[in-house]
Amino acid sequence: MASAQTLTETDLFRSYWDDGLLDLLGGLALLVTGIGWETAMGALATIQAPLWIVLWGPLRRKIVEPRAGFVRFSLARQTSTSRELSWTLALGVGALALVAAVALLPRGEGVRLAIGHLVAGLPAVLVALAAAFAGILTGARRFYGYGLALLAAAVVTVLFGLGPALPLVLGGLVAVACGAVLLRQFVLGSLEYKEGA
Amino acid sequence: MARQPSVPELDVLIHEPARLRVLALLAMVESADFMYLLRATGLSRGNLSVQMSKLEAAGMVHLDRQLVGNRPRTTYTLSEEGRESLRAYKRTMLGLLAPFPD
Repeated sequence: MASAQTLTETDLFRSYWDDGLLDLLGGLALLVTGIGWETAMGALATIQAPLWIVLWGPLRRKIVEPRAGFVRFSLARQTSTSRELSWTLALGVGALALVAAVALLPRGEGVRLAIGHLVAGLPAVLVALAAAFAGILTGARRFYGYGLALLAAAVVTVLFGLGPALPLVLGGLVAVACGAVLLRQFVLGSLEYKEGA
Repeated sequence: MARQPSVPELDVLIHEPARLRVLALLAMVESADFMYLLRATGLSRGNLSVQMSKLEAAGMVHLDRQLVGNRPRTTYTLSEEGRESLRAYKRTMLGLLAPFPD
């Protein structure tokens, strides 16, 4: 009996993320980072990424909550979510610092050759890890899919000697497309509740 | 003279399917507003409104009205009385159905 209740609460929590807004904003963060990387901004383009995620709260209150309703989960769920979010943020900050260090530290020709193309795949690998943490946090399996897509793009980048921006742009496009489809479905699916008002 | 064993009585306030769904849902979360309950239970607005009024009148749920921005938000929380009644209902149902083979 207890496990059945836990499962249902887990289902409720998972469905909390089904609107696709987080996917859309996370995808936009990646996409703009990837595009910015190719411009004069370089690795500094990563600085704007957290701003998109910060927008999630206000946009959820504006777009999602009036349609999906408001729910506050149990204290146990809030505690575990905060803990997992802290790990995800720590990973994100670590990834940001690592990418900035790699991009900004002066390197000699020898070091450049030693690191080779591996560095180009590093940002995507780190973002893929963050996507996996997001999957653990939300219980939504599609985040693992984004992680796998980013890993695959990172491997292609390393193998073919492409720039670090490509996997970020590709991963961002996948997340934006999925997020847009989910958000559209969510908004259309909410119409029946509005009409009944 | 030995007393005739009787089938345990169910709490009819909880036993009604719509109210049972709402209470089971509220037992899993800390609080939820009307729209969330509407979507999660699949009940009609009118039915949910009636059931919530009954649950509130019976002290099973607490109601909290707030203004969020310029929108009113009514959230419901399962009261301690509601939680205890739900536990008692579960015990009764389990006892009632225990002899029934799987």
